[in-house]
Amino acid sequence: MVMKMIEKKQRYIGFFFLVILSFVLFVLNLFTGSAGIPFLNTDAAGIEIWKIIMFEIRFPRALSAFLGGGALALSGLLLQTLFRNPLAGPDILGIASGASFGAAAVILVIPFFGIAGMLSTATAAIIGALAVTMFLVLLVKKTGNITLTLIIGILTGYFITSITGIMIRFSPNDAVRSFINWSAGSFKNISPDTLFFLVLVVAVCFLAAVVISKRCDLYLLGEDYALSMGLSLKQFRYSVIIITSILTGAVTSLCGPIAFIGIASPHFCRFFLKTDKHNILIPGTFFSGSIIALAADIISSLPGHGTTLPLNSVTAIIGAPIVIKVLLKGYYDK
Amino acid sequence: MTNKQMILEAKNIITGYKDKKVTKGFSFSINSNSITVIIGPNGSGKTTLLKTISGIIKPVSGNIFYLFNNDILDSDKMNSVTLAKVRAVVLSKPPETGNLTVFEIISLGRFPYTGWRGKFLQQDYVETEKALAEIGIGDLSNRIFRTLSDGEKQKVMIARALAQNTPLIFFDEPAAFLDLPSKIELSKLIANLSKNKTVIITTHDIDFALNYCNELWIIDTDGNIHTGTPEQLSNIIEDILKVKLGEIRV
Repeated sequence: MVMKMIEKKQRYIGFFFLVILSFVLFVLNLFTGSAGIPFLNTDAAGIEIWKIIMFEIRFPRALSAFLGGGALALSGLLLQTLFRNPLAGPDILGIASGASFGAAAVILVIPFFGIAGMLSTATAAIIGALAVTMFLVLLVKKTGNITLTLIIGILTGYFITSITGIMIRFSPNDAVRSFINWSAGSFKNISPDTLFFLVLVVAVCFLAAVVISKRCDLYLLGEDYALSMGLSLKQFRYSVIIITSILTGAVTSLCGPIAFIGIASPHFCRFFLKTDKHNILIPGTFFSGSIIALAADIISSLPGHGTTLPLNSVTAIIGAPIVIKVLLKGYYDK
Repeated sequence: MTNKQMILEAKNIITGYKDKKVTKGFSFSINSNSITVIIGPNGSGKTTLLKTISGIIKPVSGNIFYLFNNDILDSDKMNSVTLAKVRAVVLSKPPETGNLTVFEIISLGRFPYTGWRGKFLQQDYVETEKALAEIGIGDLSNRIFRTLSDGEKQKVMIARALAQNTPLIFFDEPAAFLDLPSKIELSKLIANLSKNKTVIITTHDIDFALNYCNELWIIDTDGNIHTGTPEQLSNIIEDILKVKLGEIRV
């Protein structure tokens, strides 16, 4: 019993650390950007500018990094549980490519604007993600081979990305520009309206993930065991497919395709919490994703003077070493 | 309730998969607090039969009935949670479970008794501790499951089955990957369980079958299933498994 207390305490400390770190990075994120915050300039006009920068640019950006990173991370964790493989993630499996294809189809073919544009792009992206995830789950069921499915997922991603590329070739210039802007991936393009949508979607999906956390633990034991212990496999698979598709689709449509956060964050979290119990892992991974996204966003705006680094390069530089470390160390055999 | 009661019954089940039938039409009924041992040569379909009658895979045809709350229910009409209150399963290969601890894995056996969120109550932790104590692995409680030996892992999986609190437990070659001392220990443990559980087990261990079973099922290479006591089946055992019983009995 004493041992259990100590272990639990360590987990809580680790979790607390993740929460504090994401909060610190959130605040830091508010104070980084091309314009300096005029601390000393306290006249009315100065405060007005400060307010605009803070509430209309910095805060939405920081919040979308917090939510977007967390959402992708959560999606990655659920996929790793579903495919029972530490290398699964929305970007690796081609699910993000499916979302991008859906979003691109709307951006390039029927260029809506404003809320209608945002909602239609998001819906198309979610459908795209859903289609790829369903395909992969069917593939696992048919072949029973997860490694094979992982590789086919990567190939599917390339395939879909190429179709998206060809679609761009035949699109009008305006649409292409807005598509290229979007496809670079950024947390900055978000408006207060779309932010509200993101908050809503992520909150609902997060709660749904928390509800199925015990079922995720059961699923770790393998399908036969999980079934024998009362898990409805079909219901569970569909829950995971729907949650991950909505998260990946919504974030991809709003922030563009962002790589490596989904696959790396669950490992980042396991490193600190040393557990696979999903009721801790789910919130922990969410905060880990937020941490990586906020840090990447800060690093991308470090050069200053209006120059920013491409977000996807930064997330890859942070994420790829984490994944390589997992591969080399053989996390599950340690 | 009488001491012996029909707890599991099947009518004319054929096991296998869509394009490949494994065992032929078979009907049976099993009484409570007994041990039924399924033996047969490699590839004869022991595991398929066990997984079918335990409801993990569906029979090609035929019906399986379980006793639940003094009612006889068709397994087709039972959902996974109800089934999980009737029978637990222990498979031959221990699962890979990342960083879950022994206690956490055993407590998962309580899942059928939880609500929509799967949240455990005090009662569930009490049952988990009870299962740990019954198998005698209290000292492993906080260990990470994947760091255990195979023998210890199987004991944990059995404790998890006990936490599931079912009248029926199915074992699919539970000792297949164990060394001899662990095998013997596990056999005794399983035999002991039948005091208040109904055990159905597949095994290659004829010694175990002859020593402990109340009823023996032998699957031959044609997918026919022969049932009876070891004495009644001695000719068939020698014929199908190509062994002389006298040699084993020593």
